[in-house]
Amino acid sequence: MKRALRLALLRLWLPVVALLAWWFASAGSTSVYFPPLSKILDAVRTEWLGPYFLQHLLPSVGKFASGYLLAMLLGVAIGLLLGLSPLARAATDPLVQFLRSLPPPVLLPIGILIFGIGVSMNVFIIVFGSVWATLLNTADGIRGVDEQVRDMARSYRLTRWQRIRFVLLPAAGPQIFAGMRTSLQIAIILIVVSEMVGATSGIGYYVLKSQQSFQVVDTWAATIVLGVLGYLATLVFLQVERRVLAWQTGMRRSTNAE
Amino acid sequence: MTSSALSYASRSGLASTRARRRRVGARTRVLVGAASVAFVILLWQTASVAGWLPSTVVPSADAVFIALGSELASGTFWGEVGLTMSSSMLGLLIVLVIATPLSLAIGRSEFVRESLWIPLEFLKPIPPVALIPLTLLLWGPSPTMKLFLVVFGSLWPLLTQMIYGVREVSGVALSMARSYRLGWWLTTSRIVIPSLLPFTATGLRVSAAIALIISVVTEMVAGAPGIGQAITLAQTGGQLPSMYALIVAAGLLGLAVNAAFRVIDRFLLFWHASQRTAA
Repeated sequence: MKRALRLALLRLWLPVVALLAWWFASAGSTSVYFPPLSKILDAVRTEWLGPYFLQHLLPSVGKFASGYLLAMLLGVAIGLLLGLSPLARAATDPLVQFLRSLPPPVLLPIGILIFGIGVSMNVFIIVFGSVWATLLNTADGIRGVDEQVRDMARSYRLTRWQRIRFVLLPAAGPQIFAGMRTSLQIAIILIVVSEMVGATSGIGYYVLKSQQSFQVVDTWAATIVLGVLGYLATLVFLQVERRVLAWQTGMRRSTNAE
Repeated sequence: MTSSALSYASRSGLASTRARRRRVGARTRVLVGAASVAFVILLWQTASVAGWLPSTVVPSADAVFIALGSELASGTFWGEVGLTMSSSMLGLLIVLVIATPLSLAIGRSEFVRESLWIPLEFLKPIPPVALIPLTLLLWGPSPTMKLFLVVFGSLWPLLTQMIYGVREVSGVALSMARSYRLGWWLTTSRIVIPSLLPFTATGLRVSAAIALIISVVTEMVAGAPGIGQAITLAQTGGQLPSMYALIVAAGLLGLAVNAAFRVIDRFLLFWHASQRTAA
């Protein structure tokens, strides 16, 4: 109890001090660029928990979720194929490396050309930009599964599907999730950028528009909303990861590996 | 948290050594890879010539490669590359200067670690591009603004890796150093830095990729000069072949950055297991 209290105090003092400092330092601010925090929070409450929730926030979250999930599905499936077949991997390696190294936002003009401005273009950019980290990590993870584990699966005569489902994918799990985490960060960047450049709704669209029309309070408010959403997405991801990889943490603890 | 530490370790070391057993020979790999690249380019060209790809969306391969050739021969292009690269690399240097003392302080002091826990966990997942409008308000499309975003975006991978690294410094080795009275300099140079280096190398490589992405985005969205701005200009000017050529060039730039950091890894970590088996 005492330890928990001490930890809470240690963790909380700095954020609290920083927030209070921001609140009071900006309270009487007349600067155009640094409006009072109270006004910003007011805008967050009245706008983002009000009309913008349906108009901008939900579309953004929907596009992000569908693009990211599609990318993860493709990444694991293709990564699995490449991990299982060294020849396929050798054949695709130069292309995959090139596409992976391409800073994804440069695809925006191509996306606009193919899909025009709108939802499908935003989703396309997310999928195409964020799939690579997961794909490569899955391929590496599958390829790196211990030879003994493979032999064991073979001598138990597991079918191919059983081998994939119960041996290869779980064994590669931590590495797949590391890739998915990188993909997540790229996907968050891409939803914001793709909305800034090619959308007529969404938080990214709104935040850039408010800046261009010098609605400074709105820019601050939307930036805070974006930050909170990025934080929540990571939180959800970590929960899912913890649940899916729970067996692994348990095993590491019991065998005291590493 | 532990699982990502494990996977980082296995990505750099364990997995790659094991994987080498089942591998297509190096020469076959290069041949098959080159053949498939040639095949894709050929397919692209055929599709354009046959009219399956509308030229208003995707220009033919030869047009793009001719445009790429003339870009590579022009001084403006290299000037743009220089602007993009210099802000990425300068940003990376600043990141290294921030992350080194910060990770040591976080690794060594419980007070620092717990005090910074909430701020860091909150700042980390904020998409750096979300700050573009705010930084535009504050600085306009200037080098300062680009640098700020690059530093903000690429700090986290390196910092996270280095914090893992500081945590991995063996307690036994440190007590031994203390009983041998090695002193601060010997302890740091012989024990802390060697165990920190592999993590720093991985972190730097990820951070470098992100730094490049942020530079390009800032140039595209905010209009700071550089290769990203060149792409946007080619797009608005309707010069499709040079737009595609610049995109290909951006990909090659990404590949080059990645390769350069791999060489640095090998140079700094020649003694480490992951590099020794690779040789």
